[in-house]
Amino acid sequence: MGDVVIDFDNVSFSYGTQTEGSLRNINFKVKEGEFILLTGQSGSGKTTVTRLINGLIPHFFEGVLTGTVKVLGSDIKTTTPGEMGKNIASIFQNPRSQFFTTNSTKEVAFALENYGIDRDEMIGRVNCAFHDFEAENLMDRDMFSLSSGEKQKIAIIAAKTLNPKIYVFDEPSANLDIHSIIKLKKNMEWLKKQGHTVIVSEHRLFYLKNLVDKCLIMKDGKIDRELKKNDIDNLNDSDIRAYKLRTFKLSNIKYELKDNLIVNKQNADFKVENLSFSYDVNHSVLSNCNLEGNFGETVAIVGHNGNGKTTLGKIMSGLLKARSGQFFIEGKLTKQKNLYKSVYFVMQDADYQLYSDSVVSELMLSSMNSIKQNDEKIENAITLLNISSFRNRHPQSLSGGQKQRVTIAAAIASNKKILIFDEPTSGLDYENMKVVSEAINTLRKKGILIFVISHDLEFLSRVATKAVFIENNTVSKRINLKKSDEFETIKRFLLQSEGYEE
Amino acid sequence: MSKSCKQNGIRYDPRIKLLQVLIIGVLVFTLTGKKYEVLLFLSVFAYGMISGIYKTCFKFLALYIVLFMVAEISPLFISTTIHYFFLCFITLTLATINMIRTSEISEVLASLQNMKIPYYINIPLAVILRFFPTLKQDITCIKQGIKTRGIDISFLGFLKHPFKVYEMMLIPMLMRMLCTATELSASVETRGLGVSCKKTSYTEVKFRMLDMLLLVIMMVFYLAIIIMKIKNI
Amino acid sequence: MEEKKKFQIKDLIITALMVLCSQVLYRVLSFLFISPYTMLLAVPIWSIIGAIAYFLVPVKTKNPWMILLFCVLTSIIGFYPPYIISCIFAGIIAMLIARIKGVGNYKGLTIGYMIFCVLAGFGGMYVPFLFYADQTLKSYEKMFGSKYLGTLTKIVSPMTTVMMLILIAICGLIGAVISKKLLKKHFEKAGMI
Repeated sequence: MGDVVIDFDNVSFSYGTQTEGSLRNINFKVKEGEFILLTGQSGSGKTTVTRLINGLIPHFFEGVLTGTVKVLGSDIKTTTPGEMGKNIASIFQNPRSQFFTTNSTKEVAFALENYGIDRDEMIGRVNCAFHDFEAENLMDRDMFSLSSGEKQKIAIIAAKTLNPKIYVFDEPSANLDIHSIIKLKKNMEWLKKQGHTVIVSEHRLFYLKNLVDKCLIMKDGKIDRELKKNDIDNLNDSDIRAYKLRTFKLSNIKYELKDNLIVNKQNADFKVENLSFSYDVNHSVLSNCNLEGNFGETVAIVGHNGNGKTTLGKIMSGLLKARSGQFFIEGKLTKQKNLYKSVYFVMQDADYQLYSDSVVSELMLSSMNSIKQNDEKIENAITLLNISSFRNRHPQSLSGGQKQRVTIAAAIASNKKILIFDEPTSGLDYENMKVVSEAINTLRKKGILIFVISHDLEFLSRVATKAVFIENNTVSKRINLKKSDEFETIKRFLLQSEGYEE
Repeated sequence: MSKSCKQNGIRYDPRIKLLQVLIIGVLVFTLTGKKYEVLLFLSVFAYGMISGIYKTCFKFLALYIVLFMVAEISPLFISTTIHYFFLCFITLTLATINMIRTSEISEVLASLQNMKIPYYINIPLAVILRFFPTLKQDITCIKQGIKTRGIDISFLGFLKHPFKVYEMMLIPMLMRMLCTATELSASVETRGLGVSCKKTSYTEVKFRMLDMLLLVIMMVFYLAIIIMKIKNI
Repeated sequence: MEEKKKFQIKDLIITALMVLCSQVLYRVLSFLFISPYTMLLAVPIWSIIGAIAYFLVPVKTKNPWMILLFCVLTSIIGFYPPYIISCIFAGIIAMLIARIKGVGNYKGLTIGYMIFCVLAGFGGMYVPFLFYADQTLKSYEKMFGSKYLGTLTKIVSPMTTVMMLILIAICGLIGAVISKKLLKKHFEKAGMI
């Protein structure tokens, strides 16, 4: 720990007319080699702080800035992000739109090319970076064939080639599953060991617990509290609830559903038998999957990385055609092409499912095919998900969490009795996650069958009544959840092969 | 694009393929007469075979021969359409497929950079090539989203309410692209794309003897055809 | 080190993605290329449905040079020299109009767009058609004499050519009106511009 590398002096910023994400009187200093965590509710200003560090504000994002931010001695007002980029590496949350080229080696060499590094040295640095992260198997691959976790890893390797002093991460785990998050943790551990300064803005805190030197909790644009390493270890549940944060310790997550009625029926309300799917002859994604669910249940679908779960969800909702499989709804055999009439699929990315120019008309779109106008149902959905305050706003102008709630409301307004949610809480903060889980519980009590594809343990502990495990391309286990230790099986399953220790 | 770019044939500079497409585009419509058409098609066929897309070349050859035969035996109206329209487009399409399918995107961009094409053409072209598959995936997801809402977007559904379907497909696509633009620009700016200094390249672009040879043969061939045509008139 | 670049990277990327969207919309119409006569419908329909991608460029980037870039990129992707030349020409005119009248002036942008559609249609669609028609007529002359094929002669007569181009211009106008509605309904409301 040595000199001050980042210095925020009485900084205030606002993005023009909107108040979300603005900062008021921020003061803090970061020393060399420190690992800083910025957390807080959505809209509290975490991302704004990271943008000030790498210089995107004020050159790329416009707004009103007062106070001084000095990074490595340069004032960000007079240094462009390109200049800052030589010493500060930024890794963003969406792997999909971060990379510029289509080849992994070229992507890693991209920054070096831009700064005019000599070719021989470039080749040396690229090889060295891949070697440091033990990722030689990722060299010279088509970027489209990599998973989200692998893409994120390439972004980190690319950052390493410039040997920057500071690494800034903006919600890096938002699009990753637990398997990839643990790999990300290992990469960050390596960075810390090498003595680099790391700043991470995050909602999901569990994987950072042992790495953080200082944690800044932000609220409404101010730094609400500063926690040192020891303070984090001593945080108890009530503190975390008070700050509305996600948990730091996975072991603290306990099964929370109490009024759980296990429905036992002779013929399940929804049954899938012998489902198989593959993209080509050699590569089978799903084989011989069997699962079932009853109205009034929430079935969690858990599994490791790979797109098997999303594919399964899309097949079950009739959006993809399976190679083989039978589907039964209320005992009757249903053709694959008719599945979409009874099953609704909520995608992970809300942007693909918002079409209208106001939240209300978005919900009316869903019930377009119903015989009578479901005004009452729409109003209930709006109240349930707490979206009344922006009912006339354009859906695309809303924040991530708000958009997610709108898509869930649209699912409710569709009047279908079977709903499938694909990672509904990815990137959501604690408050939004709570709203979503309460909505799902309400739906379940009304007799809707809900399938949830998720690896968010906090969320699952609040909503799941049954769980289905996907392993080796098939359904390996199905359990009912009534007690805590049954829930622990899910935890163990998700963390099993990672050697994760708290 | 060229995801499974197993190089069966010989790799030669993508700029030659691009040049061929441009030249063919002009010649195939202006040089009329059966022998010229056939010669032009054969030149494209030859270069396609060198690139290694054997199956496609033979498929196109078969199609060409079939249509040619049909033109011989059909009434004048159909045969003119075939000769002056379809066969021209078939030749052009084969040349374009040769270019698109057998060149690696990174190769294309590296050679463009080498030709000292300015950054304001280079970068947008790179972005277009890079995002084409991503956009296709996005459109599939948008379609699935509409389907699960219970709105029919097959061709019949489109005829029933065209404007609505148009709006529903288009607006998310455009908004997504605008968001992507912001995210991508932020990512590349912090990696120095906007910095004014001499750029270097990881892949080496060299115009080898083979490329030179293929280029010279192609230019000579086309010049010969043009001269033949002129002399005949 | 001061940035001497004339164009912002962000603007270049937005323009590139809009060109991509407009090309995807064009591909949807590729089924029209089945016959030379229906091919003539491709550009008019595209002028209507692809307008919004064109208009988003000046509206979002607020830079008249990006209009020229849009036209240049669209033309390059066509790989057809006459098309490239006519689009670049149109792009220059559209850009100049935007510079003179201001890039926020929707009427100026509409006129620029109509000119672009007409020239693109002419270079990319009409020119190959003219070649086709010309050769068809010549071979008919050889076989049957020049009074045959009255319809085709009429189609390539100067009168009809002009009418086709006017049709494209009208479609461009319709496209501009539709895009204005879409811009207001969605993009302005969402705060994107």
